[in-house]
Amino acid sequence: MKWTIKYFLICTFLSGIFLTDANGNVFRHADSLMAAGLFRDARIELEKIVFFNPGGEYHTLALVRKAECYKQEQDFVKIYETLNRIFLLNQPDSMIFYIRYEKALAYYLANEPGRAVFELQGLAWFLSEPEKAARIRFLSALSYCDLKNWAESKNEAKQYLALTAKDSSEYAVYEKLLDNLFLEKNIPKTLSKKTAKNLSTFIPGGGQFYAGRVGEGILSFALHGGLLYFGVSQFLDKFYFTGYTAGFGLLQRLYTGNLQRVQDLVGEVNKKRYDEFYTELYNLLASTVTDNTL
Amino acid sequence: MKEFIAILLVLFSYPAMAQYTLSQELKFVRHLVGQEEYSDAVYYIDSKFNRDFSLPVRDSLNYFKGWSHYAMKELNQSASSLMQVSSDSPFFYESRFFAAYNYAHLGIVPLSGHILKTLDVEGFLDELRHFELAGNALLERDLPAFEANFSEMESSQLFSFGKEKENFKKYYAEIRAHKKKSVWAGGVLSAALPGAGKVYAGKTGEGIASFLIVAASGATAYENYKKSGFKNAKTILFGSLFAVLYIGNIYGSVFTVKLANEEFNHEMDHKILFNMHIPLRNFFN
Repeated sequence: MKWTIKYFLICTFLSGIFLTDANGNVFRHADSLMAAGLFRDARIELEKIVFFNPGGEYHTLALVRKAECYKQEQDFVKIYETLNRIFLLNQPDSMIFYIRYEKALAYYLANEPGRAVFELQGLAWFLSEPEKAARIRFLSALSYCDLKNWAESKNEAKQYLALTAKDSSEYAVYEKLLDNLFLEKNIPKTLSKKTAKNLSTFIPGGGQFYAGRVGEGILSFALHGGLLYFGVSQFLDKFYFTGYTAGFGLLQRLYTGNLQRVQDLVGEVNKKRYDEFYTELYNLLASTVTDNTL
Repeated sequence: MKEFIAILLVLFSYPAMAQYTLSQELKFVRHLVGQEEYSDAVYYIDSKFNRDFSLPVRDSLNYFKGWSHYAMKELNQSASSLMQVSSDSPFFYESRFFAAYNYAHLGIVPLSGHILKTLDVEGFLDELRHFELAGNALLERDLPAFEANFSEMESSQLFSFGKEKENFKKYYAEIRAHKKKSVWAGGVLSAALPGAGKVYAGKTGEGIASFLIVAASGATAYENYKKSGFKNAKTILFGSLFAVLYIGNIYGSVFTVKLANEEFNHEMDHKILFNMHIPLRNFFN
């Protein structure tokens, strides 16, 4: 994920905990440290509140704020580890939504989209509230995209756009763009490393052709051919050792190296294709984001 | 400007900081360590406890700090903090033993030995001390010192190091039987027969592979020399290649022998340190 997208997600989903300061002096010191950007000091201060207020409301709010500090420090694993310390059963609905949503976002940002989807599925009963539903759908669409579940990703993206488009005509435009993005030809095809290897086994350079690197494929084929020619010609000239070592020896090295190279190449190409698709989907969804939607 | 606002905000909220007693603060530090927030624990101790406190408080802080550094594998800082725990503290012996272990792990074995030797202990702790000293002796490959310390605790019934005692005996026998390989012999052998130096170093596969490569390049050079003469471009090319491979193989064999010696020492040290560590954890946890 590009750092700009990651940064946007962190900032866009900044929680509203600073807006709900109904807890008097307890959090004043920690909040002031957070406001000053001293997140480590704030975290420690909040952990102290957690320690001296076991099980109460302050306990939960302190952990939520602590997770917020980790978010600002971009330590996504620590965010969900901190939020996992909160006992959800005692919490009001708004807090449950906040905690599980933040956990889902942390899982997503920590490159664990499967766990993000699991958390988001646990928020299903909030889908009747448009504002919360928009957040859930947005993150679900991106998480399913990461999981390469294109059908679910498209479905979630469509429902997100239906919630956020200003009117039916704007929705129609977005829907068309989304349908176009998810056309069979645009969905990133995952190239098989095994196929690339098999192709190169029989025709050196074939794996590169398969991965779309025509120039590299031609060069690889020419090098293999050149060494084969050299080896054979040396044999015919009765330079048996030269043909064997400098011709076939080098050819064997090149051949086995090339088999590994095409598999790495396919990995690179798959990643690039997926990143391009993801960025397009993200840009489309983000284009509807306003201050009110998320 | 930002720093100024930050200072103002912190000063403004100072009364909130003063709401905890020293005892509560210490419990909180222990809580941070218990939560495995080691980095935060060290930071908190350094930033909040920077004035002079009574000896028991300082001992506790140094112990928690040392333990946190130890958990973060910052062994030098850990040893330094643990060594500041005074003899009045209930953490004293644990701190000394772990400081000694940290120094042994850092390769400063004489200092580790000095800490252990100056400890005034008896009973099980004395047996543990001799066990650690025996470990130090193995690390220094000082076999008489090992025998002396090991005999002091060989009959110990302390459950904490039953298996480790047996391991130490095994390592002692391995070190005793081990003959250091000569890098010169490795080089000479590879000069006489390419790859032989690597076989001598215990890397038989590498030795055979080296032999095949050097022999093949030598045969190629010889073939071109016989058929095309000395001044032929191919002869010069393959001859040069053979020379590079031949000399490179001698150098490689010397290096392999050196590496094999280091590998033995490194693996042995690792095993010794691991076995020194387990009884400490068993005993003090």
